[in-house]
Amino acid sequence: MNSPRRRALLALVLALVLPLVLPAPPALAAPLTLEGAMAALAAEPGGTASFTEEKAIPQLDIPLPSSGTLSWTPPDRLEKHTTFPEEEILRADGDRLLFAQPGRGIRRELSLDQSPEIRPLVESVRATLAGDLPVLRRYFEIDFRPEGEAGRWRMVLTPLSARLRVAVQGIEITGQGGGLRHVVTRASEGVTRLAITPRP
Amino acid sequence: MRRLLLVLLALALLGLGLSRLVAFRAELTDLLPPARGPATTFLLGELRNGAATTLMLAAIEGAPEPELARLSRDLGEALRQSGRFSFVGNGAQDFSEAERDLLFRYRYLLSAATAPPLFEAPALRAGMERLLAGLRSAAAPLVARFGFADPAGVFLDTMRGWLGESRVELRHGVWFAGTGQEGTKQEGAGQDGAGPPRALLLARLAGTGSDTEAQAAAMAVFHEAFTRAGRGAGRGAGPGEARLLLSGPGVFAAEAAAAVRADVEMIALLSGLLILGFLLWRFRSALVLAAVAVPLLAGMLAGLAAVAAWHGAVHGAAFGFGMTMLGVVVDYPLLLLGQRRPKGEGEEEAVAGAARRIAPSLLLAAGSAALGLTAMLASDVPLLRQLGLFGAAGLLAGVAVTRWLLPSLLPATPPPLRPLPGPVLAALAPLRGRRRLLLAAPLAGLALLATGGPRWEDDLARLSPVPEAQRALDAELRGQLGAPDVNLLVAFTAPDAEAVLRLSERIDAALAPLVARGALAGFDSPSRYLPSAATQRARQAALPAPESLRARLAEAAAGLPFRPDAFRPFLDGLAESRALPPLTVADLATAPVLAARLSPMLAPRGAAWQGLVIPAGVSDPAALRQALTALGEPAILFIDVKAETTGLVLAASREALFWAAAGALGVLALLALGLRGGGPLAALRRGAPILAALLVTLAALALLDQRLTPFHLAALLLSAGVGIDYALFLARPARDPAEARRGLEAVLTCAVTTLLTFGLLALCATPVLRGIGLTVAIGVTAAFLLSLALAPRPAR
Repeated sequence: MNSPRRRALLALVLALVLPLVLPAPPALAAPLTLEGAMAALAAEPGGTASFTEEKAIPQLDIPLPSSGTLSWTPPDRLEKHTTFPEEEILRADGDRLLFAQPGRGIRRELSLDQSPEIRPLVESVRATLAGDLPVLRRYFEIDFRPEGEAGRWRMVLTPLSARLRVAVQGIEITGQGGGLRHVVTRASEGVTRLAITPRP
Repeated sequence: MRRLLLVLLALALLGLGLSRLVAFRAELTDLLPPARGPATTFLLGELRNGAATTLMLAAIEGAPEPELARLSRDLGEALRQSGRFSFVGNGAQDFSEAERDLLFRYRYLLSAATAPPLFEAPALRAGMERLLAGLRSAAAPLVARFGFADPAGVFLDTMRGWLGESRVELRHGVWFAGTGQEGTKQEGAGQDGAGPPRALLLARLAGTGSDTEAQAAAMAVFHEAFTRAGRGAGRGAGPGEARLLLSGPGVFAAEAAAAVRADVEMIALLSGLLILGFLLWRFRSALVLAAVAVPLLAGMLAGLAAVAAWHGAVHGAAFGFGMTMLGVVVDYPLLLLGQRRPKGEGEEEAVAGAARRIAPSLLLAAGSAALGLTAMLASDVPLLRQLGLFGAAGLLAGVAVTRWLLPSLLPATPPPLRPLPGPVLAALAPLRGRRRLLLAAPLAGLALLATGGPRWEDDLARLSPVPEAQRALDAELRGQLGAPDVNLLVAFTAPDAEAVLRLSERIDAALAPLVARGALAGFDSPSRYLPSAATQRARQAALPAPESLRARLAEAAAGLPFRPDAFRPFLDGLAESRALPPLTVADLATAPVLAARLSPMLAPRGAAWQGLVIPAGVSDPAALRQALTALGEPAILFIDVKAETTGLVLAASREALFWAAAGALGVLALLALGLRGGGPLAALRRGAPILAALLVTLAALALLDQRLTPFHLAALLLSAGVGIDYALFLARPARDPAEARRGLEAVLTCAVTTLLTFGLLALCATPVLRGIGLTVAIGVTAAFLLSLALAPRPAR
């Protein structure tokens, strides 16, 4: 018996059989589910992306643009660093939320645990990035739909708290696989559209 | 035997019951005489039931920061719900919806910025640009909520001005002090930054703070809520790790009583054991020893009961004083047993017989000592009255029990006393009758002159038995919470709140230029939070009519992206503001945060209202005084807290000195009456060793750098009272040398037991008790030696 030949045969058999035994990567298999999208989001390691934002406020003729970078460090640190038109830092880290405008010498900090009206707004993005479905479900009713090809999806979050629903009617998030693309917040003081571009 | 045990049992039960029943207090005002001017009247009123008496400061430490924050939030919530506090601050609270709506409605009436220029196009334009920048920011929801109704930002500026005053750092959503980070710790820098992390809380009691029970109940609420918050921990640190530190008037009272009690117990135990051993050795009988305790216990109980009955509550310092000083009551049974003629010297004398024989001297000694203390009952310093009553009642009860009850508790002929060691008596023998020792008195006088006489204590805090550590914690928490003790105050009263607020506004106007000039760093005043109705009406009058504003708004908004009707809420708000009735103190029920800010500075006092303006960082007090005098308003008092309290403390000491002197005269008078056939001259001769001993004691205290307090004077009086025993008994003519020796032995035994107590007391932690210990120890030694020097030489 020739051992190299036997080894080649074994390799061939394994190559044919293994795909049948091991589960396929989820994205390629069944239609995308909320759980699947969350798992993909949770698997992302975090990083930095650029963003542009437009606020449409009913009392204003034109939307207000801004842009900057978003940094996400799992499990719970999210920073929105606006560089245009004015520097501003909004950082959620654990229970703390920091708001700073260095140019104006403003720096405020608050506890998210103590701010029931702000916490859901932070979690809409942070818990989504973390793929933390239980936290999302604590604050929102979730309407999830896969969209077209290539793992695109759309998710509409409606606040469970009636009090919060007066101020914020809904948050619509679109993504692709484990990445976020758009966050549209419909609130009584206007509609905010956030577009995210991953950095190479 | 059985009777003795029954009596002891009854006394013990009585003592237990009394200590449960009696309320203890530590009010500083008890140490002071009544006010004699408007400034002191105000100050005493503040000390008694001013804003400071309702404030409780707390800190939680000893756990990781998130856990401390959680505990602080839970504790704060529980305290707010308890209903005992008008305000609980820990950084987590905010304006309620109702309060915010109220203050928003009144924004133009409350803000000092309300003036015609605010509604001109340039100011409006600046406000709009600010609004636009705010709308771009992440704070847009907040900005949009208020900005279109208030483009000038008057409301948010006002809120920020009120809340931003707090210098306390907010971490994890609550107030924190200390970093706890390695490397940033500084030795002894407890004020800000350094030290372990601490969550801070501040609570103001509902009602006035003079109520001891409410204080105690509030403390209980604090501890209970903290324990419950700790039990709910679950995550992170265990509940046992974090500690609650508490300060406030109620805490002071409890700590003072506890500290005095601990000292008294320590002394009672230590000196008790020493005295027990010494007396057991002398009396050779445990039974006799137990009997000796009866007058002692009776005296202490009588003193405590008398003060509690007369004053309702016993001051911690009076309690410490009474319990320790009445230890001298033990002298009476010692003298009785020591003077009894034992077996072997003619016919043996029964205890009852000895009691009858020495009764005149015993009663005269105790009576004059008590009389000296009784004089203080006429004082108007509450503590001096308590001290006098405690001592006098205790001494009289002790001597009465010795004279009339003790003989029936003792065996008729107890075993004879063990004689004192020969060498001791031999050493003392040459002193007897050596009059030259009295030269110590002029020497002491010279020493007093040389040291500039006795110095008086003028710091109120040092008179109080509140432990140093507790006072340090209070000062530290005050520093960290940005609520330092105020030293300079401007106080004023007027018939109603509106008049007080108008006065406050005039003071604001007078002080503002001084702040600009740097004479003071700033000030807080009631009108800053609530303007007078007159001012509010003036602001209303300055508000433009909506019609005239419309054109200016359009002009200001030119080139900005606002839609034409964007500022409709602003115009509506102005119209509403012009029609509002002015906000008054009575309307603040729905505004607890504002009311809490205002209440320390604006409060009803009897039929009138009182206002306070609190200057901070005063570098030029003279300019401040001058600016206030220039207002020409007699109702305005400028108060230097430190100087006024110092004056009051010195007045209290002077008063104690006066009554001590009166007491001493009374003692001499009683001696003159009591020494039959002697008259004033004999009284003076008997009193001479005591007067000399007083001088020597004063000189010694001055040399030891002790600052005299009323306690020292009371202790002096008592040591004089004890000294009278020595003088009277050593001067008794003896039948034979054996009786003379017995007399000396009895008095020496008294002196040794007294020294065993008060010598130890001089080592106490509580300054008041230490002062008493030193005074009595020195006084008694001097009185014994000088009495011996004036005693008749024994017949050979």
